[in-house]
Amino acid sequence: MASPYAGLDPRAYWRSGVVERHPLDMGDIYVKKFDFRPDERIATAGSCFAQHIARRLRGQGYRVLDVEPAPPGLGAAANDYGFGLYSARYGNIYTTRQMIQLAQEADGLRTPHEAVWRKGGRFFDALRPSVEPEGLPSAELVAEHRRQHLAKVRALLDQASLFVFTMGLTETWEHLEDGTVYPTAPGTIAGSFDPARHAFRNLTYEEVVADFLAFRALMRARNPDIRFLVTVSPVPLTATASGDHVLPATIYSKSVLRAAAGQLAHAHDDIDYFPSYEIIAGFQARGFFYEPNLRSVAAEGVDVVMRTFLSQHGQATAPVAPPAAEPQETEPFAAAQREADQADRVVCEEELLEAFAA
Amino acid sequence: MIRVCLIGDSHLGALKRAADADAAPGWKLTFFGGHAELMQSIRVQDGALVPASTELRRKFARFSRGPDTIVLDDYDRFVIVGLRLGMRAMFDLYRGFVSDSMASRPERKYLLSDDCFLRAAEPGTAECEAMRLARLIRGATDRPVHVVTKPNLAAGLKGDVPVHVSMMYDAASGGDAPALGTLFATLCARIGAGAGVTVLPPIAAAAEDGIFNRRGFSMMPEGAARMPVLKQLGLLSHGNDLYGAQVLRALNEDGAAAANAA
Repeated sequence: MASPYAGLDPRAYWRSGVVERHPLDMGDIYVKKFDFRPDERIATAGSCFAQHIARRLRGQGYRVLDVEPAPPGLGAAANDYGFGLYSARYGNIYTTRQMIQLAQEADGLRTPHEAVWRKGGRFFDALRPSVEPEGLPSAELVAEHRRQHLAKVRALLDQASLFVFTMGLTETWEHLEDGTVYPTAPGTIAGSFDPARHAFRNLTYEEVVADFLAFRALMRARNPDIRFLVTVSPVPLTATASGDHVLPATIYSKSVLRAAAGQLAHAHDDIDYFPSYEIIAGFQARGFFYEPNLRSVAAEGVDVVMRTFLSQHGQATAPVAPPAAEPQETEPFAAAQREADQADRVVCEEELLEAFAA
Repeated sequence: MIRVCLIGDSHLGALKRAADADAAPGWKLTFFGGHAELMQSIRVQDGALVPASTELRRKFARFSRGPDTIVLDDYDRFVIVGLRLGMRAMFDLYRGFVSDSMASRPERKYLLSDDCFLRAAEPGTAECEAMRLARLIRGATDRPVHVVTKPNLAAGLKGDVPVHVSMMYDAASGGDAPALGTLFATLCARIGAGAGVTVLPPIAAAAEDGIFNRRGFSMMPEGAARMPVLKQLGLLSHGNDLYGAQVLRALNEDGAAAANAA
């Protein structure tokens, strides 16, 4: 009997699948598990690499939901306030634990004990401390903003038909009383670290899988047809609190996430895995896609990732309706503005001539 | 005698009437008027503000019965009035958003921090002809430049009005007017600092609910309710000589404060 490795597809062999492929064209490294529906309502969340995915999908005409759109006029500053990065203003969600806890909080199933951090007389949402760079003047206002945010998250989870999640980290900081995990260590952006209340936690493979499956269960309870696309961020750790060297700590963390994502995709028909991690961090790339800091992913890398993705999913062709939360009154308002400008000008000329008449 | 050059649109009229009533003792005023589109033709050339064509120069001279160019060295201070510097961008934003310091929390509006609200309102406020001219003058001379925001509508007109105007009434009825007024004053200080000039927010003594020009300071005569709405809007949003006197007083006080500080 011939070897079971004989006659396999070229993608199955290291030489033809990797060595002989150009890193800018990884061809069939990804074969989609399911098609995107024309009216797919895509929600995105995850670590910072997911921002690229959301932006590029929007650019390709996909209907990426945005339930907290930026106010007009904010322009490039919108990202500073957490707008336009993901489908809601939750900031980076680095861990699966953060994701499930956010969904549970939105559904009223949990209330974090410590949700507000202080810094210099200002107050910050501990679960998304970067969305208000200057903080807010009171803890009550932080709570009010959070209530509004959670209502929007709830609406997002209700609407989504495809959830794109990028797993970023396993290392996290949690509150010892209720297990709430934070996107940053207390004391980094705001708040203060208290060893009696806060502790480091490095999520295990089992925990990552369990967290994601719990999130999936919550989503499926709303919409049994919901599907998931998971990726692993190729961005290494900035620092590790594990006690290990940062390089093995990074490889450990990414390996856990990669294994968890693989297991989820293998075991469930509604979960697909897209290998953006491999495209950027794989051997064939030789580090080419990283900026000189060896952390940030260069635009060329994002291009290859998205090209590979879109070669399977193509460009969205369905008409894209604006998200429901966006104001719909632009045209009548613009007409009113023009009318008012015209009135201004008429009145202006009359008034000027009258005021300065000899 | 302080030589002051006043540049603006129809809102110059209030200052002209006030000056005619001797509200600016010690100042020698020169008016340079035209509507905002006309002002877009102004350039700095050889130390002077110059309209782009002979025809435009004639128009400026006709509007304000004054010079058709402004030689910058001939003046000690510059005052820019109106020219679309106002609260419109803020009211545009207020259609869909409220901020922390506001009283109302309608469900259809998204709550922003004051900081974010100001950042969002800033470009639309600063991108106007008044601030373009202010930056133009600042780039050509170190002499003081004041920019006076146009007065808002006077209270009293409701009903069939343009959307952005109706927002003012919504702000007043929802209790948000004082917060909007305070935020706008902060915004004026911010965009003024950014351009190296001083921006005067609506005159406090004339502002009702923090935003409206008081009816008695507007051009709206008694018994004008039968006029077309747009005409009423125009009259309500233009100050009279009492308003002009308030502006001149504020400019004088601000100038004195600046001189003392220097």
